[in-house]
Amino acid sequence: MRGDGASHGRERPAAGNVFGGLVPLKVDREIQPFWEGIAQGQLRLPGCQACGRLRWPPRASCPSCHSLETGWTTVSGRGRIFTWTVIHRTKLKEYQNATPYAVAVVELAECAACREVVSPGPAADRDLEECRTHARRSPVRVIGLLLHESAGPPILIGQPVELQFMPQDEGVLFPIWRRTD
Amino acid sequence: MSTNLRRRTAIVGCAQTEFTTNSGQSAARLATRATILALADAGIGSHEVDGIVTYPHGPRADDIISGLSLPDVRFSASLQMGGASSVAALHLASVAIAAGEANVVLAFVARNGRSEAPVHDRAVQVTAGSQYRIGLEIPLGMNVPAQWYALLCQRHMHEFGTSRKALGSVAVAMRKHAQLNPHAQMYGRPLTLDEYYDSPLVADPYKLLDCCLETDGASAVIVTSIERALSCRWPPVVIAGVAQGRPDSPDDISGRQDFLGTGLRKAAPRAFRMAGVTPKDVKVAMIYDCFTFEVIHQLEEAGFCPHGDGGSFVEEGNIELGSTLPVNPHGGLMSEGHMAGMNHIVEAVRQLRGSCGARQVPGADVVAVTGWGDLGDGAMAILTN
Repeated sequence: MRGDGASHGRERPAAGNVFGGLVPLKVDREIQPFWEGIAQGQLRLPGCQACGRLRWPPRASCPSCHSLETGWTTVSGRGRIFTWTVIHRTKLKEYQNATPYAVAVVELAECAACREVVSPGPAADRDLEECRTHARRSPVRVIGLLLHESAGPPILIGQPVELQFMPQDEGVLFPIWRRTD
Repeated sequence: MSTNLRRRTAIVGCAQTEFTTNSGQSAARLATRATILALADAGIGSHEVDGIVTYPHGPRADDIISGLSLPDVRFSASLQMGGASSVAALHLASVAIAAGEANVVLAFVARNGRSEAPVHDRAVQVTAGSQYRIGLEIPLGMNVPAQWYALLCQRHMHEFGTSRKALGSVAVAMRKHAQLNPHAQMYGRPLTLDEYYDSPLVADPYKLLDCCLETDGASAVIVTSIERALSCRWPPVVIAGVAQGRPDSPDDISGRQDFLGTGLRKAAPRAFRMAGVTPKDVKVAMIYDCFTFEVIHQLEEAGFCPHGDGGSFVEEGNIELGSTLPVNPHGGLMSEGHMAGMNHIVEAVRQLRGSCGARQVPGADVVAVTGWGDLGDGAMAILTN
């Protein structure tokens, strides 16, 4: 589903798993539009206006064609787990009460070159799909928090995920990925 | 490819301060002490130092120049390659000397890495792409290398079946080597695999004992031309090959096309070709062991074993003293101390001088030293005697 991007999260974090992460107030100008999208419950990525390629993280130029013309686009908010870790210790004060918490590198469902959204295949097939036009050799991957409970289902590479938006204090939305299978 | 640098320079002096958890001294004092000792080791007067290469974090060239009244430093540089900066400093020093722009180059690392500037305070500052750490990752709970590289390790385990036992094998080997090194912070503190398994998780799969030490101290080396080296105290340790390299997208891991590709994959072939040797010729490998998995990773990236085989290579004990390819006889960053790999260069020099006593690798004539910097910058030096 394009248009309004990922669904607004309706779930509350589980007890003992409260994320106090703060949406940063002031970030690098290249990154700012990402957080503006999050504030509206959308996952937005920079795309090259010359060759159309999506990229992440946000950079001034297109690594493919070097154009500096950038336009931000809303994407589906779906993807698959590419790799992950569970953080058990941290010196970040906002996360002291959240450990252990999971972080994943999510490979987005979009093909970087043509933006076609590729739906994940059957659960048994954890390899990534190809789009109709391109071999997906240039995936777009983002790092994000992953909903996970120690006693819950194990995190597996290849699991499909969807981006949720958790309301924090004062209704500020915070992005967190949720497994969908 | 140019071989202009092949065997043009040599390491003639090396020294380290004690490695502790609280030096009680300024980083500048530690740097000065190591410098004075390294110059004495070389038999070179301080007035001859005309080049300085510094680490991206810590005392600057001007601090040393002022402290020792160095009359004319005509070449100075600092790299921005994190932990790869120590080995890459040998590259810079060699370039300057080969070009005739310096004769005696000091390279050092000095810091209170445990008591004053721990990794969670310094890593983001010195790493490329800090705007991504600050703007995208720290808000989402990620801020230290253990977390970044746990992501690499997890993927490697998925792609190649690398096991937790393989990680533990590295930790145990480094600690075992440190028992032969009275200078090591872990000297007198052996480690079993069971104790490794019992240590707490930090960032899955990394446990506390998968992570290297944090250290207060300093290490310094003196590099000169081959000609100048011939009248120093020790036979020269020749820099036969040296190179640096970066992964594609050195400022970010998540979007890296070849997720496990590193700068070392590019630097190692250059260094080997310059030196005119292959991985099979290497008798001792000094691998930048910031984490256990990174030893496995770099063994593959440098060509010591095929991609994906690093786990079984270490599980079978191949990196221990007396085995196929001894890695870090001094105990490495894991067990000697974390001096950003400058201590690996010091150990390499001593192995080539034959002065390592109980941990000497017999017949060590070709030693490889790797450097690893956040987020995967790489460097390699091939040293010979």
